Amino acid sequence: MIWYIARRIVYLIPTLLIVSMIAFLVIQLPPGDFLASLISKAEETIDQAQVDALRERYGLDEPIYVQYWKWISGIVTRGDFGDSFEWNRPVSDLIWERLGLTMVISLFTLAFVWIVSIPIGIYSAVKKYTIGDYVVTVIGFIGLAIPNFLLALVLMYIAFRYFGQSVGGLFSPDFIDAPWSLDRVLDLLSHLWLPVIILGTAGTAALIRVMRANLLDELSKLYVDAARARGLSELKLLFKYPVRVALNPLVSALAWVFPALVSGSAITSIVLNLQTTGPLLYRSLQAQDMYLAGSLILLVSVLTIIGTLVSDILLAWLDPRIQLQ
Amino acid sequence: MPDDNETLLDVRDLKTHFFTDEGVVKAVDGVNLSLKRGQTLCVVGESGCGKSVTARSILRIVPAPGRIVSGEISFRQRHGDRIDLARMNPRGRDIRNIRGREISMIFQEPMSSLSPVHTIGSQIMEAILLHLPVSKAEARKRAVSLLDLVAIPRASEQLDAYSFELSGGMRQRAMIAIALACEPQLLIADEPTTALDVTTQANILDLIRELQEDSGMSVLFITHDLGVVAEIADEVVVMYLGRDVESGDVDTIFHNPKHPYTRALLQSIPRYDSRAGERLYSLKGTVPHPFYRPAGCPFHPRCDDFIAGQCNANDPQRYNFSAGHSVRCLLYVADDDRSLRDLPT
Repeated sequence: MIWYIARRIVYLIPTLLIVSMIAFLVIQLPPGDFLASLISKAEETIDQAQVDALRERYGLDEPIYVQYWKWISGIVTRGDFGDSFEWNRPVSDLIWERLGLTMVISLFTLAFVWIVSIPIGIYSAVKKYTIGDYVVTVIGFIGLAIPNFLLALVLMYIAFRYFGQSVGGLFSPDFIDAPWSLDRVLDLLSHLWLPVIILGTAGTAALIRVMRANLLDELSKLYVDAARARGLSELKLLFKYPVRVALNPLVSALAWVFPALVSGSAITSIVLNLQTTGPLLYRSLQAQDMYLAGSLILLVSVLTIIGTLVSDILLAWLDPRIQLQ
Repeated sequence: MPDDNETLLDVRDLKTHFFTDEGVVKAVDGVNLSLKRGQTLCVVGESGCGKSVTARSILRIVPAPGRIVSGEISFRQRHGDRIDLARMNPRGRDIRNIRGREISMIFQEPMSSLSPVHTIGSQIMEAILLHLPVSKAEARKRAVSLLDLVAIPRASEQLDAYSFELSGGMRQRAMIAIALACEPQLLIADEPTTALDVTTQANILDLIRELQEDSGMSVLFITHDLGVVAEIADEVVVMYLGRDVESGDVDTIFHNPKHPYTRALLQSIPRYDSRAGERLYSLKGTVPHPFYRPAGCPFHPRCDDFIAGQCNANDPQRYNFSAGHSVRCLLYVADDDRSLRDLPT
């Protein structure tokens, strides 16, 4: 097991290197740069000398590999992700708090999705083709079909109209710029349920279907009959054997959850005015704010890789067949 | 219900049907069999004749949408009481106390009948802890001795092995160890050697026979392999389309078969002394689709001794040739006056 984990960690290094190159390359691909878009948007003409000074400072005229080297060596050696052109602040100032909040929302959403969908999926598979199964299936498909931002608008209306809650954002107005304190954490928690439900709905619906399909496959396996023939009760049998095996694919799906939570819910986050990384990435790409966009893409990629590693290790621990293969 | 102490299991007119959306499949449609203490009963027949469903009906683990519609499964418990398994709630506590304790079952594919993510030991210990009042440590000790009993080498190490780490033969031995964990009175073996190669098959058969001699348990052995039958059976039931067509002791079935289907099965065994170029006998036709069950005797479209107007019209009843030898065939029942026709020789 330890060797397995060590080997996987060693494999991470070249993957991270390649991913960082691709991330940098991608943000260089569109024609023009931040200065070009700044000039085109500016209402007054900008002094050419000023533009040249900026160009000089960020090294925009140097070859791409020099730019890449400057960027990546800064990140690795000093934790310096460069400056955001648009905000005129270091990228690291902008992303860490947002990343923290994103993580909080992500973990709560993930927990919500699993807690809701796994029991419903099990019920739906065990009682297949009953009224209960059909009801759950219909609700599941509706959940899949409704766009998240629409659900966000509806729930925001309900929360404001009937519960009198300040909607949008993760904090009440009093707490937005307040330093961290117990009250601020409680305020965060009281605002969290709305984005968690909205971001989790589609995932819940999808996971119910996955859990149901996985379990249906396992329920008809011979080892279930064999356990039944030993005299095990139906409930113990269900959780010890087929549910246990059916959960494995969900664990491997963890790998996709992390990146999707960082970048996937941009539109919903904009609607809900969440201080997460999604909207930030969206704006930085529009403005060609290359160091900010590059850093975010790099972080998303790193999270994907770490997510894959975590899910692989979990899976190896859950399923003894993995290590041999 | 039989009242002698020697009969462990007595199945009377068992019918297990599957209620699918397309129609009712009569997988088992009137099976009779009887098994004495310490004996081996082989149930033989082609694929789809209802052998496995019969076996599963006894343990009440028939998969949905199947269920027992009628019939009686009389089983004599360890303390002497007779119970009718067919009347039990398949999800209830009573049948669970029978499963694994009084009646155990092993299946055709040892790979898929063991859990892929649990050790062999955990599955043996589960069976022990379910039925016997012992501690975990005692259960583990018992599990090791069970693996010894089924001749798995290095038993205490293999206890923590997973099914995918064992060979096919070892897996089936492990399954047998689980089945024997609580010393059941009856072992149901549903084609336990079909997925194994011939050498391993012979080893497993020897093992089952040895264990049976030591413990005195009865074995209900499901197979389509007449070679296996000749080797291990005391009694034989031949099934066709969900019915017993002929039953008797193994000598009678092999040397004096009466039903045309039994005869055809025996003739299709390749022989050592057949000459080169001689064609192998094969039964004509195929097993009919379950929704299109022939009227009368279900075997008549494939039968060499078919009597028009009789076999396709009348349902043959069981006819006893001698004690323990019965046949369901209109050849042996009178046309009108129900007196015996001339027996074909």
